[in-house]
Amino acid sequence: MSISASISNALSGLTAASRAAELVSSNVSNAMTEGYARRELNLSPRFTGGIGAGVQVDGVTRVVNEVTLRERRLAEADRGLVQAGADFYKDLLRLVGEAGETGSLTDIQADFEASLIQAVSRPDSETRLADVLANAQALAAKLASVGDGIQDLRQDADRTILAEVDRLNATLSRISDLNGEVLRLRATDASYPDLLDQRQSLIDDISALVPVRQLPRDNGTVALYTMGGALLVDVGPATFGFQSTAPITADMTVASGALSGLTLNGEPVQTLGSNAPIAGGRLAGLFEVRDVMAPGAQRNIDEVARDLVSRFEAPGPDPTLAPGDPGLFSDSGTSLDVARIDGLSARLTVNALADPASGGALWRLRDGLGATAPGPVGDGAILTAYVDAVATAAAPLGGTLGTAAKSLSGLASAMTSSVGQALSSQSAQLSFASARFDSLRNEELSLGVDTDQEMQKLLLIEQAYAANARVIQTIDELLDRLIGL
Amino acid sequence: MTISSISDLAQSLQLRRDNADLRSRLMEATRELSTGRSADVVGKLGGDFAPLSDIEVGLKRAESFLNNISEQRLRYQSAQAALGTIRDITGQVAGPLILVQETSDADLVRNAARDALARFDSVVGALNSSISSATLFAGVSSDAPALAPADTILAALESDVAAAGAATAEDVAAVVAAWFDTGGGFDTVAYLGGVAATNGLPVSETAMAAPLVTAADPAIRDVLESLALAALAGRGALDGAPEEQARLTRASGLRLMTADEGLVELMADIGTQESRIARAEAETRARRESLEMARSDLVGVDPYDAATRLQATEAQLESLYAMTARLSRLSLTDYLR
Repeated sequence: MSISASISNALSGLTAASRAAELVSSNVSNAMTEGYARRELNLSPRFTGGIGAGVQVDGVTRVVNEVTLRERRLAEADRGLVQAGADFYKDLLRLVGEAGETGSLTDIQADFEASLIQAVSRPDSETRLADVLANAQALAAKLASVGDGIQDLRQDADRTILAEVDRLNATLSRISDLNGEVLRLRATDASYPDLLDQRQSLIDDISALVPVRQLPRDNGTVALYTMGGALLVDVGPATFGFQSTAPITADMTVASGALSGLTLNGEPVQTLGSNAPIAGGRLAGLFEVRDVMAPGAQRNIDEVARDLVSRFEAPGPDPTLAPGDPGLFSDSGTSLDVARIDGLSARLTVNALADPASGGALWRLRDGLGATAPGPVGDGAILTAYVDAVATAAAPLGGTLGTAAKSLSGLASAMTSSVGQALSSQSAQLSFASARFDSLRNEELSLGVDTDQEMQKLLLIEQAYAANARVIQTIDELLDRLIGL
Repeated sequence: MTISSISDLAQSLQLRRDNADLRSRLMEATRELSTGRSADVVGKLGGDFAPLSDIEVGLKRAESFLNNISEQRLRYQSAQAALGTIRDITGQVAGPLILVQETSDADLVRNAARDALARFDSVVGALNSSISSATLFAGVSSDAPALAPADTILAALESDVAAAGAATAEDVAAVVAAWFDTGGGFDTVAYLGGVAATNGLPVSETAMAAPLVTAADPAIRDVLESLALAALAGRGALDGAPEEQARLTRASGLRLMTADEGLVELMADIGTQESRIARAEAETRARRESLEMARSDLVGVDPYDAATRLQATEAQLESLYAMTARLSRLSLTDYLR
């Protein structure tokens, strides 16, 4: 052992201590950063020619639990999938209104029914007839607003898909760039924890959109696959293609060509079902909202509209109507066309013949829409027939809300219940998925920076640095004495 | 060496999540306490709104039935009052009319007949009575009067009598009978209202109230016909034959007595209808109460329960705050000064 060897040992100690302090400072400064993996220093004794020569810094490890990370990403994707559906049904229920809420579909329908019953008592009263008209118009307007709202939600989903696809493409290309940089840095034998941090957070970004499987390659790069088997990043990034459509109406579907599907590297890919390459994440959830859930809800509201129109049509409670004439409610002025039920709710209008504001007259509510002149003012026969028509239980004609016979109020409540039950089931799934995500995230974060631990390390580092510095001081004195002879 | 520790982020995230959770529970309990209605109806009902909406529709229908019942009751009561008035009138005038004999003094006969004429006017007026500008006995044409003015009716009768050249009380009675018969002048000249309503009025989930009779009802026609005989005499019919006039006047009184039975039946009918709608009202009110109870069972919240929950959540939140403060003070950095 020579004195200069001691100095070089002590110097390596100082270097190690200052590297350790650097890591501690990096950890502490990133104590609040999400996606930052705690750094740890790897030290080992240095050997030159089989003889110990101080300490060497092997490298910096990022403390990451790969298993928890993977599980957390899958849980996040699952949550994103369910969240898309739950948000849709929550918005839809707000549109339709819960039973018992003022302004809900069932409430407005009940008001209409009540105003008809009261009009039978005073068919001569303009006020009562005006009430019936106003409530009928409110009912038609409510159905239209629900139908329009559903298409708006579809539009929102479509727009969001476009934004997310753009984000996905941008992120994938950045991941691919990072792969390239990692390759370069490996060649120079440097360590690159910051790049790995960045890559991890980029992959986290897309893990909510599509569930990803990460495969580490030998050269430090990663390949990314979706759980559905589509290759996202390997040598280069994949590109998704999507076009937004505006405005969206009830008759537009992917099958009709009016709405855009998803392409991967130019080839169209399936978006729905568990076999889809993008299945399991928020992106798949949004497609399901746009192409399955919203059209289903639209069919339900159109069913209510259809029932409303056909209850009042010829041959019905109004004997003054000729076959083919529209009744109190019509499809923008014409009678029901069974081939054009899609979007009926948006086209629903109250017959202008009964509306003074459109050149009609209120007495037609009492005397029949086909009447040419006012009849006896006390005749409540047609109004009574309207009351019966609304309250009669009849099997819904379309079959989307079940086949059991229902009155008009029963059908409105079946529509509300269809939304409520879907929301209830999605909420239950969401709370499970959220709980799972939360617990995995907690577990993952528990490996993060603990400032107390870093402070304790700092105490050790201080001591080590001081000790090494003292050694150098002492050696220096020794050398001085030697030379000062 | 692995020393497990909780990272700062994990700890703060957990505290934040717990805080948010407790606050939302607090808001929910507050809302439930102030509205008495469950804050999460979807969760409570599992999304199935069918029972709740049935209750709401049932309640709204019950309100409109009660409205109909009160309006119809008013109509029945007014009709009863009008028919009662007519019975009183005819009762008062029948007596003097019957007392008239063939040999009675002409003045006596004339006074009785003129009295009948005046009463005829009152009876027509009673039959034209209306409620909220809807004539009671005019059937579906409730904006029109039920009967033409008494003068018009009697004038038409007079011209018919003159045209037929009736000279005896029996002849006059026959002309008047033909006039009041279906297809006679009554339908075209006297009765101005419409047909009787065919539809009943919905007054409960199961019952319908019957519409009122019109002034063209046979019982009412009978009364009018009977009184018209003496009224015609009061206007001067058969003035040249005092005996015939007296016989006409007396016949009027006798007929009025029998016509009274028809009126009594009508009033009994209306009485039956009144008790039917009273039953319907009791039924509807009971149904409304049971629906309201069912609704509070479904979505109502016991205020005691909600208040207890609110207090418990408050206490939990307070202890969470205390813990957060404590934990944030526990940092090694503070001690390494």
